[in-house]
Amino acid sequence: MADKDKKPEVLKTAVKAVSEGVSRRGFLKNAAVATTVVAAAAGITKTISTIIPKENFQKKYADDILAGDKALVEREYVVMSDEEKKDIVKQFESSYKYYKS
Amino acid sequence: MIALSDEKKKNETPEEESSRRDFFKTIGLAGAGAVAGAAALVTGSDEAEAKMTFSEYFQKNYRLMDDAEKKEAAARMEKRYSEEYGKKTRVGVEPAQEGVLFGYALNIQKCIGCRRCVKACVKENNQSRHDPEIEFIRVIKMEKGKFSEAALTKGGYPDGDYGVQVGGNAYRNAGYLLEGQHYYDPPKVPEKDSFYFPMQCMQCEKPPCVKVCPVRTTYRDPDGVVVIDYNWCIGCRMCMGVCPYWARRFNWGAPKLPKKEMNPDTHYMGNRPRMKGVVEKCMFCVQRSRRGRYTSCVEVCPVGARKFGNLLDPNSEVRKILDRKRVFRVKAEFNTYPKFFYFID
Repeated sequence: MADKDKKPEVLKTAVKAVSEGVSRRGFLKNAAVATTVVAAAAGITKTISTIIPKENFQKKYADDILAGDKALVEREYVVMSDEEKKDIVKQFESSYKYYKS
Repeated sequence: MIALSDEKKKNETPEEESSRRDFFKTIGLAGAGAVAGAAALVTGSDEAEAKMTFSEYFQKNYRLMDDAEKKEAAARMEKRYSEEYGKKTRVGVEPAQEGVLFGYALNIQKCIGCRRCVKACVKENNQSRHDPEIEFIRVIKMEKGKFSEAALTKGGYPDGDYGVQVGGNAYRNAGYLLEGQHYYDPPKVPEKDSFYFPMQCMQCEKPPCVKVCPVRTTYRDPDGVVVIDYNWCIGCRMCMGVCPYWARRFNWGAPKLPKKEMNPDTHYMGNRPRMKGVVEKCMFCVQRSRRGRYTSCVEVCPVGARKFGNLLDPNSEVRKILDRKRVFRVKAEFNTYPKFFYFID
């Protein structure tokens, strides 16, 4: 009787151990696979990004500013009158006081 | 409490236990994936950004920082730049001086178009050196107006807008800009029949760029300089769209600043190295001007065409020019009140 009772107990422990072992192993396996996949994906992305021709930053920069140069074409530049010059200085003085307050 | 939790434990079925395990397993996997992904992202980004510390990412807008926070932020950057460029770097936090409103005046008749100001500015302000070479100052070559005898006989001025009247009555449009005149490269300057028109940020008194900035990273300091906190710039380019002077530059890629060419004397709001995706522009060399020095373009100009000073001081050069010379502004009709004046002797 005693042996009969013991057997299932041993079996139970073994099954538990096996199932625990499998799940832990499985977890570690999954983690390793996931890390490898992510690292590989990052590596592939980096390789692809280096293969793809790089953007022409000089052209983009020039496109930003050359439009401004063109806009200056044939503009009218009018010399300020003495009144205007006095006014603008007054404006600056009052706006300085405003910003300080 | 203990009895209750024990009771709960007793009632837990093996299924629940296994689902919890599964949950933790999933979380663990997701966490590992996220960490690996973040690491991959950081290693893939440009160097300056990757080296940016956590605290730098989450620092306040400069305007909202108190003095201690400003000093702390500057010290953090000094450490990073010193490591990155291999030289002792200073990041200044000098505020605007009391009773100072900076203004600029440029003698368009004297400018010979040598573009030394452009190069000095690039060097001083740690701009990207190649692909692209970012320049805050553009010197535009323009054709002088020409006198036409036939038009004189006809009498009066022809219809249309007429540019700067250089050398008497111009019966042909002056300031005529030819395609590609931005990067002119003659063997000798000044060229015959040309005049030169340097353009840069006008430090407007009512700057439209400040009004449109959605994150308030660009603002006008009390000394009139429109500054940018690069750490808060989101690169939306709204400021570039509204600037009537095309004075702002965008870092499409990571700026290429060689270590040996880096100027270690910097300012937080000025010439400290920038990163990809932020806007930059001329800020009257705040790292120099706020310590009583001239801007680098003024210092380098071989013909003394550039004048800089305090608009609130009646004895300053720039005020004397305003009082005595023939002065004009570019796009004054926009009412942005530029503090950059052009003058003629």
